[in-house]
Amino acid sequence: MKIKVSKDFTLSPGPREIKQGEFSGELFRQTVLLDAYNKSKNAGEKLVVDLDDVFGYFESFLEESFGGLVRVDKVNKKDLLSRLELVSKDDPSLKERIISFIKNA
Amino acid sequence: MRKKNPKYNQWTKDRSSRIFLHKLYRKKKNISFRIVKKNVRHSQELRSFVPANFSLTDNFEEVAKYFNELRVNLSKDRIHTSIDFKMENITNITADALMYLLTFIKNGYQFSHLEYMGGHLPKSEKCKEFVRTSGFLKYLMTNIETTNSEENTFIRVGQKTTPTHIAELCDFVNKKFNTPRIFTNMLYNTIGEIMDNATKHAYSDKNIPLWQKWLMYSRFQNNTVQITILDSGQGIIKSMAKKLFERIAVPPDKELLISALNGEDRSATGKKYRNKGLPRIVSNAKSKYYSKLVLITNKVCYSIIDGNEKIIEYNSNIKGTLYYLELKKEKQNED
Repeated sequence: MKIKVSKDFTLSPGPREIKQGEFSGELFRQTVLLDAYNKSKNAGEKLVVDLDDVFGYFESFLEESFGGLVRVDKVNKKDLLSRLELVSKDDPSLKERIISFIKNA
Repeated sequence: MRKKNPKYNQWTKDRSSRIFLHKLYRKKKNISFRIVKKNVRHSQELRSFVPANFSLTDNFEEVAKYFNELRVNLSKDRIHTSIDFKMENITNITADALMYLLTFIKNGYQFSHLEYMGGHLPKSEKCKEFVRTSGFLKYLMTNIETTNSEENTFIRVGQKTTPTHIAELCDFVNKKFNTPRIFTNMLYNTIGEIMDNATKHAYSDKNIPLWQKWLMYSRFQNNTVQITILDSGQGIIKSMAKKLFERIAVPPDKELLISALNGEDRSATGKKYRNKGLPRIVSNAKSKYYSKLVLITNKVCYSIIDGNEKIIEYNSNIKGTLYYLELKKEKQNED
């Protein structure tokens, strides 16, 4: 199961919560990410998230999207870490940061 | 008073003539910009002399003191109903001070007796041209012809976090530097955190100005992009979560700011997974992507210039938070 942020959501990811502004992490998690995770889990596949080709990311967007899966949607942390595959050639440090948000959620 | 009352008729006549005289007064004085309330009455004018070096980043103490004294005087004073900002003697002006003046004017109606605020452009040609091309005059009522400044300047004002504005700024920088979109990923991240903090925390206090906006200004000059972002809220220090013992024995503001910039548990929301933004801004600046970062909030100034950190605590303070960033074209080509 593969999703690409720039195609499936937006070129300009926004703040943390929906009430703070457009293209938020909360909106991304609710409309794209959680659904993709559930589908990949049901099919027994990896979830590949392509983070490239956007203008950039807010730190809070990443934390709310990925950390929020564990914190808000009660996704199993171990399962998420084993299933998730991140693609980020533009900024390799993104992978590390997202993993850390999931672990600390 | 009842309408049939002769005193009422006389009062309406007098009122019309006062409005006429006031308009004539403004025309004669050749006022450059103004904010006018309805039902203007005869005004007692306060002349407010703006500092010659009108810059918060270069001349913080004097400019901050100027605004604070003006604010205090206006809150006590009930005689003056108008202000004339005397800007003629300005010899140096930067966007941060101009933006702060704009927020001061926009919030001027918190002084209920104030009915009119106006001013003149600086005499210095360089400063006059700066103000004219800055784009700020479009936020004020003015007869001055502003030069089309979109080519080398970029100005946006907003209330919520708007990633599309940040994307536009990135496009502006990439166009000037002739770089691909990936080059401004770090800039997008930095500006996003700054704007997000301004939206979430700057105006969370109840006793805050009514014009609750952030301002973003960018200018390309001499192969350098200068970016200034300002809000006139409560400032980082006041919005920070303080530990229990700190509420009794309050540490110096610069220590509090350093702890927030280092990512210590200082989120205003009290949640541990927050407060990632400020440390991210600092780590981006330390990476030398920016040749200069200046953060001024309340009375603390934190700067990183060519990788060298410095923190100063001033005597005066400002309401709000100011960020100034510089990117140099040669630096990017070297990298």
